[in-house]
Amino acid sequence: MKLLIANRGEIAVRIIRACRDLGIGTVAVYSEADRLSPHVLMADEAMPIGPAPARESYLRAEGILEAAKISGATLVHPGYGFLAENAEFAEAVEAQGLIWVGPPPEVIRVMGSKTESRKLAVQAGAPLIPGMLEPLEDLAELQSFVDEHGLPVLLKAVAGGGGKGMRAVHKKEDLGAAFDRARSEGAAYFGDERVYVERLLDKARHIEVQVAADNHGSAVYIGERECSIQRRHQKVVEECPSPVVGSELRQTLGETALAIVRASNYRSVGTVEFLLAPDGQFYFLEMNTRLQVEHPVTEEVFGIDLVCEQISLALGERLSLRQEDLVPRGHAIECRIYAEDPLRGFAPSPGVIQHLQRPSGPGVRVDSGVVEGSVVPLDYDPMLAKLVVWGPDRQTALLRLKRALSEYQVLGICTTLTLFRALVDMEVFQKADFHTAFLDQLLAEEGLEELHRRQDPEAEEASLIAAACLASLDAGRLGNDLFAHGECNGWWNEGLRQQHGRFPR
Amino acid sequence: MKWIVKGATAAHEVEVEREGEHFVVTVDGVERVVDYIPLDRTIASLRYINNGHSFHVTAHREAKRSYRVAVGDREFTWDVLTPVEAVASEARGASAGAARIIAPIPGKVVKINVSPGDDVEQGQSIVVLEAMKMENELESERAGRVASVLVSAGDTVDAGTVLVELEAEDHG
Repeated sequence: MKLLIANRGEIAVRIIRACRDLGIGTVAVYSEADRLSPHVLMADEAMPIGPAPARESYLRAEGILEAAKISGATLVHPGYGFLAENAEFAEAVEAQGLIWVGPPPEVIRVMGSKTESRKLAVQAGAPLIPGMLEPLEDLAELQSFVDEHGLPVLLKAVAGGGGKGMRAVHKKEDLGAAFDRARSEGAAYFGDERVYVERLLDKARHIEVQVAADNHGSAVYIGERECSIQRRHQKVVEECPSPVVGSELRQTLGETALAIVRASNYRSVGTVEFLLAPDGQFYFLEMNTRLQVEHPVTEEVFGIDLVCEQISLALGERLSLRQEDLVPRGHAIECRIYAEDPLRGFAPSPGVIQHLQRPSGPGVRVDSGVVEGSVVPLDYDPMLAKLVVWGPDRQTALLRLKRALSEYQVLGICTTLTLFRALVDMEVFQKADFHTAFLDQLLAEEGLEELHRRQDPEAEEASLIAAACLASLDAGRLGNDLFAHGECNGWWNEGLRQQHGRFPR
Repeated sequence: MKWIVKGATAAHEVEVEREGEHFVVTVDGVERVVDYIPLDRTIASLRYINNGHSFHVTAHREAKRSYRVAVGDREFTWDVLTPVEAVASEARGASAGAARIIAPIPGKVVKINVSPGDDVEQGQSIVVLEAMKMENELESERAGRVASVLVSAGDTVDAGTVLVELEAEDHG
């Protein structure tokens, strides 16, 4: 048996590991930018699928299907992103006689439409954010919705996802412009200009339920994840369990999610997303018909392997999990490490990773798609790796996160590690007193560098002194001898000993 | 040697001297004695002699005089300028967008980094001027095309000498 991974980066590596654990062979696909990427080096076989731009490689279904045919793969795993929620691709995989590792294409199609999935949730009895079930006909219809329900409202592209094609409107005079922008964004990103409207919930938390369902009528929910730390609607930190969900709410959310699973005839692993308002009321948001980026926090807390489970479900096996056995144990937190510069407005930071030191020790897991020397291209999503920590309770997990963040070193490019190091020391983060707009508001109020400065004034002075020492050495005026032997090892072995004469030989 | 170190909110007067294996660093009049031991080109160990406080430093130069420094798990950016560069940078702030690179003080032209017809970016180093026993990078205040280079390497120039001229804005 052989599985083709229609993806790259850390998730391709994650899937290869699951296949190894199951004894299944692996076929990687790669663009011209990825010949030496870890997923390609790791897989049993690797097939080129085109030039670096995703449109011409990882998003080009024909090339991937051809690679599957040539390699003799029997299963196709789409990962997340790229073609993972593309119903036509799933259909084409099945039409070629291959096994699609995911839910049936018709479920992907329904859940891919925000309005269709809302209708399905209504059938399943899930509470919906007050809003329309059909796309907006025109601006007049939007205005009458606002007259009835008030402001603020959120305009969403019907085909949208991943935080794109959404516009919040807080003032009545902005409605017309926002309507036009949402339509043009929907057309540009998703090829569908239809938009619908719903109330915008203030200070809501993002809570999502992991589910798994087999072909034999069994389904379970596997706890929830808290994903309220977001930047511009993109999750950056996720936790399991949610610090604000008790066992009663967990069961209610879980059973609501399962009602949607049954109503949609869902099979495979999947995620039902909810918003939780400050008053405790929760609302269906959408269902993601794939593996989530943040699946490891659930794995750590429930002691399961979601990717192995997903593959065995695709092979028609029965669920290996029983609801009564799924009891959360401890607490896990994940940080998404992006090649972005948090001190410069999160600008992309492509380049070569010149030095990489990963954290380790008790409770630390790193799912990474890069190694030292990796080139981070501009062509793809800038996520490099996920740092996941587990502890017997949230407090311990936070301390382990702080430890792991201090050990993690990436040089050559800038990363969002800088952001997480500031976050982990914040009282609001430690107390889990946040909501989906929290991080954007924090960054708007106080720059990250100011936050570092306020949190640790001693480090600021030390960094200033280090910069001045380094500049003096660079200027060549104060003892070029410190750098006399140039590169790391030669210098360490010779220069330092000669210089200081106090290091063991 | 003396530096003006500019951060996100303030500028500091810093002097660095070598004293045996230590550095004596004076920041706005306050003296600190430290070990600064480079472990390779980007990693160093910084240790305060008086109290033993130790920091793992990772630093890299982002631009000619701009350093990004992580100390422990905190990250900062500093522009480390010679006093002359600091004056030039102040002048740039006052007359942003000027089309000429002018010597802010008397000195010797060490190096000219451009030729007539070159396209330059804002902040690009145009001329290296040695003055006060320091090499000072004189940067372009705006993007544009070099119209003429009026001095040669080795020339001694007075304060106010026009070194390089850019083409007028609408040609650049």
